[in-house]
Amino acid sequence: MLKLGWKRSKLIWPYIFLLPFFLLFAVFIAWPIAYSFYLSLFEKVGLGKGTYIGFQNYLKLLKDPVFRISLKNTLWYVIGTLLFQIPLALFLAIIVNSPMIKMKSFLRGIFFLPVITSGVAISIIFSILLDYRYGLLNMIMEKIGLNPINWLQDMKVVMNSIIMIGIWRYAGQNMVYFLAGLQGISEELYEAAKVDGANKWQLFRHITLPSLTPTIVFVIIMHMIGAFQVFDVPFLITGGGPANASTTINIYLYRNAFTFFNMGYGSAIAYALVCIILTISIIQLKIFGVFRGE
Amino acid sequence: MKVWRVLLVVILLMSLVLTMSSSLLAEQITLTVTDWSATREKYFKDLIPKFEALNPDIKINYIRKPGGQYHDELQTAFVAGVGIPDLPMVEISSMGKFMKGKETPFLDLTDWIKTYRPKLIESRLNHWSYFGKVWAVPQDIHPSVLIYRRDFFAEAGFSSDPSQVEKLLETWEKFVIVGQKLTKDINGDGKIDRYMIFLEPWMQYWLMILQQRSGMFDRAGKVILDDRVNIDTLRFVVDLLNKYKIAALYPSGAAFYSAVDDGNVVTVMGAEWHIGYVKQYTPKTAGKWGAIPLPAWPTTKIRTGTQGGSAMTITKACKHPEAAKRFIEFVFLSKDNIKTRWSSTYQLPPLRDALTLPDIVNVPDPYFGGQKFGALIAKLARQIPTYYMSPYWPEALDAAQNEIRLAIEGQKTPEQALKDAANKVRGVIK
Repeated sequence: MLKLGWKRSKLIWPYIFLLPFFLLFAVFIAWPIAYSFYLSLFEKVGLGKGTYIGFQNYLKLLKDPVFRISLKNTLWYVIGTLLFQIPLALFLAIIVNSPMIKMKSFLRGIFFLPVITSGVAISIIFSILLDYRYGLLNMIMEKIGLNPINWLQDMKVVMNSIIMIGIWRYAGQNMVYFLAGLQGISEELYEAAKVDGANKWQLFRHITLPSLTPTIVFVIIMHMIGAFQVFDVPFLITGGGPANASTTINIYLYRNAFTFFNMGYGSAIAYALVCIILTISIIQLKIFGVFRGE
Repeated sequence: MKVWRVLLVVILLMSLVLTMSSSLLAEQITLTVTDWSATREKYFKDLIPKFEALNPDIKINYIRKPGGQYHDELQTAFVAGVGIPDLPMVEISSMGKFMKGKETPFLDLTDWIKTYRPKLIESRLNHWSYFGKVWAVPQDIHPSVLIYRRDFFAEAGFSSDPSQVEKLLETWEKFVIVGQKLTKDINGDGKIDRYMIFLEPWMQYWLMILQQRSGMFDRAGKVILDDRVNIDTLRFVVDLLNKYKIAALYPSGAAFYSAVDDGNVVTVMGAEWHIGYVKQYTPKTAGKWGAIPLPAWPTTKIRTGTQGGSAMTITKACKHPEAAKRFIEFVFLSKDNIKTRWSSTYQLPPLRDALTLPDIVNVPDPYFGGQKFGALIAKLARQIPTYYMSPYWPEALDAAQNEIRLAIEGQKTPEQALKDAANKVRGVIK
């Protein structure tokens, strides 16, 4: 009897040590997530009890022209950053990983610096750099004979400016992932291929890329999840303007929940974003064959 | 001896208990005041000790929070029911959202403020009224003016004296005519370098419709964004930019002040708080400016407006509303503290006594070449028209700003833009 009691009490201890995490998770993550879904089923404007309306908020979203604009802007941001940032990150990783490059740690640090720089600082700097009259970028363009561009106030251009900032900001993070992937590829594979007469491009195409596939899948999925949630830089630089031209889904969510104090509709926007990210992630995983058996 | 020692300890303990009880019995009221403004912090820190000395039963806990998140935090506190301050300052464009829903978090001050109405500029109380009741005590009135570069006027052969320029720019029609002479390509590269005015564009558009006694809502809360006056005014704003080409859109952020410093604009139009920022961030141009009332519209001849503003509220969570009212009365409704508030913020309090205070109206301002700027805004404060607020003010402002921009870009006509904005807001109002 004594032995059984001792065993049972020994089994309990891991759960006791895990309990603080689960308590904090329940209070600060699980409960807000569940309550937000509950709120999305209500018309809850201002203070006081809301009115239960079922999925009316979601139906309203489908007809909301500003939500459609924000979805279009967000998709444009996701695709734009994906197409340029991933190849750039891979390129930087290959450079940093090259045996010819000295000061690898320094370069890694420099490329990673934008990732750890606060969004507020980035927004202030780029507001000045991209200013139409006084920005450095337009000054350089004028010096080389190009016309200045209204990077932040031209409705046709502003989202591309936000994409540019996004590429610069997160390329370093993806570079680190690719670097880890590159360093995991066995040198013997390269040596064997060189013996067979493979050139640099063939080494990259037939050894590096296939070996990096799991890393590429991971980077693309993580990138898309993060990119869909873009908020701080467009919010601080343009406020989502001009005329919603740089309004993303998260900016629209914030506007409804906090500027208009419409918590029900804001929660519905949040869940719509969750569904979009989940759907796209599942499609990606299927395309990349992650669900296929070995 | 042992008995005496025990007796002494007992007496000491009893007196300690009695002292503690008596201090508990003499109730000390603590009121939490929250704000975001660094300039107001100066006068709060000056006035709070004076208030506490006159009211020893009240302690003020003043907290200044970062401006960007201030109203979000206040909203979160109201929703959570925890951490609600007693006396929060609220910004005018954020007030509407707190007036939505089945409950308001603020006390109705209508009956209490009646006593003070004769002291206040009446129209200002309307700007803080919802459903016919007053919910906040304003700290400012923000009369709006047009400041102009005296040197550019002189260069073009015009008088630069404010009394003459006031006549020269008496109407918006005259503003366009003069503007066409003052807007120029300075360096001969074929591009305009100096505009008559920068347009934000909501800021100036709002002042123009207010001059014509219009707004976004009428007294009954009906949306009037697409009224004829507003449509015609938007057409005028679009023409300033695209037809007369005497205006350009505001450079954003710090670039605006650089452009003003570099002489890229002849006039700046805005409320006195906006002009205050121009003063602060363009010291190079000190002494080169004059200030006049806004050009008028033929229908109303009103030469000013108002924009922005902050006020103090009392929340329903406040356990001592009478004490809270004493604090508001001391800081915002007392003639004695006008000078302190003015010297911290250079924002005109909405008190009639402020309009004749020598420290405001008799002081030459070197930034305006010695002109008495305070006298001008005090004169204009009396003319500020009323306008009507709505709990849907944030939605209306958002819709109006976006649609106005589309009209400026030529993607919609002014009429279509404002009809779309108005219909959007009507669709939201319950």
